[in-house]
Amino acid sequence: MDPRAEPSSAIAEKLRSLGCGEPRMAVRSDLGPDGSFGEEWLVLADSRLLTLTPGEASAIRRDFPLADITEVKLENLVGAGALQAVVRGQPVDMVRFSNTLSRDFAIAARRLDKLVKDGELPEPPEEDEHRFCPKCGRPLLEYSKVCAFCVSIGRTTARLVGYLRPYAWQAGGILTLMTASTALMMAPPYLGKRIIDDVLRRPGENDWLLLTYFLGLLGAHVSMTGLIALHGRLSAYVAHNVLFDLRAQLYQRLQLLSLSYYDRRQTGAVMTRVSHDTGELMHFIVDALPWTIMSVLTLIAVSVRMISKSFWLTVWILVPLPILLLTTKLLLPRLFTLLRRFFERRSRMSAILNDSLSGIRVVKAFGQEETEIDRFGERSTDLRTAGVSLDRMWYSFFPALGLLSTAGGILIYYFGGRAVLAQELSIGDFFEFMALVQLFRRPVEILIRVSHWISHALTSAERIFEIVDTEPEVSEADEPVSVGAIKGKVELRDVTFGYEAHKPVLHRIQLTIEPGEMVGLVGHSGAGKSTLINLIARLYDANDGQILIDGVDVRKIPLKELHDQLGVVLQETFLFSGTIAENIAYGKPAASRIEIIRAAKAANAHDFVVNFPDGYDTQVGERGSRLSGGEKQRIAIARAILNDPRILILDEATSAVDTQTERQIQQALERLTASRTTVAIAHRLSTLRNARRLLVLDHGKQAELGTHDELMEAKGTYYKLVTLQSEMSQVHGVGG
Amino acid sequence: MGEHQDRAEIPFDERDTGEVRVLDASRVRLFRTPEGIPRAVIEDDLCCLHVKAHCSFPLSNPDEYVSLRDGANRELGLIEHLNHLDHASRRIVEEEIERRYFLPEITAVYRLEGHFGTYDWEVETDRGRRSFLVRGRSEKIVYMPPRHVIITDVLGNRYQVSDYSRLDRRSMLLLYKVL
Repeated sequence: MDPRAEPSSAIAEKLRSLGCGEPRMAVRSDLGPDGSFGEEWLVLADSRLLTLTPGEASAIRRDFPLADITEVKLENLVGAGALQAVVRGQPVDMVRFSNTLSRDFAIAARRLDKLVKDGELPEPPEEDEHRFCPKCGRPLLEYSKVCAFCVSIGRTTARLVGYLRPYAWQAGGILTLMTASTALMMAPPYLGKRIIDDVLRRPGENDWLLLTYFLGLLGAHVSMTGLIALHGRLSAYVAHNVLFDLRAQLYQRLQLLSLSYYDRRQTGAVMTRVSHDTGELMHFIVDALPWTIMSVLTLIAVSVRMISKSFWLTVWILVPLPILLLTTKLLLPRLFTLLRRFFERRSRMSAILNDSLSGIRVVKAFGQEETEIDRFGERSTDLRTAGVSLDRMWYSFFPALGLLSTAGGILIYYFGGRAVLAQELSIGDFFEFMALVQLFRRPVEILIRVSHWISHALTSAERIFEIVDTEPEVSEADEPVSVGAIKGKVELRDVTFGYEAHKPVLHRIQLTIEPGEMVGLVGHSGAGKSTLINLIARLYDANDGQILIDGVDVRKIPLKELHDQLGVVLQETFLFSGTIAENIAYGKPAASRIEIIRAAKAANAHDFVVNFPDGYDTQVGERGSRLSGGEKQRIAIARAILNDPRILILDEATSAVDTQTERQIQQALERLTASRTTVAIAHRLSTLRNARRLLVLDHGKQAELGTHDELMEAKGTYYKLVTLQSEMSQVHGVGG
Repeated sequence: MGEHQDRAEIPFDERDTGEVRVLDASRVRLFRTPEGIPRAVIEDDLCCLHVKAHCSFPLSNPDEYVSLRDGANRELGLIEHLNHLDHASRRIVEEEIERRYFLPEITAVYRLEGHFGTYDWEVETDRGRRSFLVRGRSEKIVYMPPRHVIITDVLGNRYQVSDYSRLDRRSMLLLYKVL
């Protein structure tokens, strides 16, 4: 149910009947005044802010003239939120809402707040994301456009089939071959009938035909095998190529997507998408699809043949089929529920196991072995219960299924036998029917599972298409303006930004950095420092205001040009698996070895690298696990030095290192930042003192800006931060 | 990513001794101003203009060890058990807790359909009827033994079943699909 619906005419009516004019803004809440699920409207009308409770006795619950309201804000509760108006210094709850509507009310609060403070009601931000399925109204997951319940099978299939287009010839060939081999499959039963009727039942008459039929039989089998091998190979060729194309497109898109895409998801989820979903599709296209087509063809061919011989016998044979389908439809979902439960409990048991064994030190130190044994016992029991239910169902279901599918073969004995006795069919026909029914079994088994396979595969396909369709948020301008070699002047004009547009993390930042200048960013954790540098690096685009480099709006500069000349040293040193040399040269793969060494030397890394057994060829290990924190930092600094960026962004790591290493890192940083435009999030006093000016951020707002001396004299926020820091580092220094 | 999560600001107080202050509930009075703001007088010597109540154990023991806090989110002290307060004060604390903690209790399950990892629920709660979607199982359904379950939907709303053995048979069968 989409709660963003427009106020109905009924609401407008009620407002009018209660003496109000046209609402300028109306937002619906899903909680009533008593905290139960219900409907309330926050309405802006006639320069008043009111809360309307609809219903038979609809009333205006709260009503304040805008003039009396000094601020509008949100209070985040647990599982809900409240929009408050500050009236005469006191916050008053206007309306409460569940988490479902937190975004809508955050936007409303921001707009109303601006209205009471600046006198203007800003436009609502664009709804650029789909949050509710246009078809069924259910909330969409993860900002995606794919509604799990409304996946259009037709559309997805059509799109998948589209990927076959480059292989149209091969696909056609496969189908032809399949049809041919299916037709050939009808031959052995037919030849068998002929052998019985023409040869065996008339001994002495056509003995010579035996050899002919036998050779025919042999030929049929051999050709069938040949055809199957051929179309199998062709299928594999097409399938793997289609998947290759799909994977390439997917991976390319993933690389191009901006950071905001990854912020909202866990990396694991995205990785699963790529590996699991493409795997699902692969399984489907390579195995399931060909089998399905073959099964359908076989069924058609067999049915046609059987009907052409005896309609009524065919009917009798096919009687168990509907029963089979019905049973499957009813029981299969239950089987899957049991299966899921079993796997879920198994993973919960493993989780406990993993937990206690990896934390075995803690378990023993606190003497909790017995408790852990009990905990494990509970989960193990749960698993056993689930396992027993599952197997009970499994061993009832599949045998029953088996019986039903072979029932046809048994029924033939009776009905077929009667037909032979009544001289309607020959013994040869009887034999042919038996053989044809055998051909039925496998296709039926496959088709039972088909709908399930297809839905799985289509869902996987949809998820992949969803990524492929996502447009990166930070995109290339239509007509990029090249700035050539960046001189390094960075300007922030009235910049406001929030990872979620309605929750700004930075408010109206004004800053100009001259080329070659180093500006330090200071502030409490969460003040907005990392966010600011993310904006300068154009990993995100500001919601309001502009960022200019050398006088050109950063959005107009070609992304590649920008990133080529921007250098980054992050808090979390991320090293790719590879050698130390490869990591240092990451931004500049064509760097010569001496360039790498020079960069490392400047970063005070050369010495420790050369002391490694493998020197610069040392494998860094996944995520740099083979290096210590201080070593990683210096490699990252070397990487930045080698890149020789025009603008450097530095997010200082705060990891504890010994004093010696600390001084080496400090020196490396000094060399890195000398006469280079730098924006640094500084933690070290030394870095702060190196900076020409410092910007102090407080909850996303600009608090102070000036040189170190100016700010110390002012004895403001900066002064407090610095004195606290030096006290702490004194203590820190003693431990080493 | 620490910077854009909602984190309450906890002021750092150097004078904090690290000792818990359990208040003498008989000497704690709460009342509301005409505008409805809750005020507290703590043990005759402290008057708090806008008091807030946080449960220490909102899920397992909401009546115990309720933290009373001032406007700057500093703890004034703990109320060991709400029934130690006088009736009127207790009422106000309960109202504030009710306002802060929104966790509907599911009393019946009308519909629970799954569709490849996403479940469509329709339930009756102590706050009215509600439909929601739950995606995934393990992280979204949290078990608190013996029979307490907390479910989180795709929009971040939570719902609880304090004791699923107390549901009617049909609800329990449906619920059992995901337990």
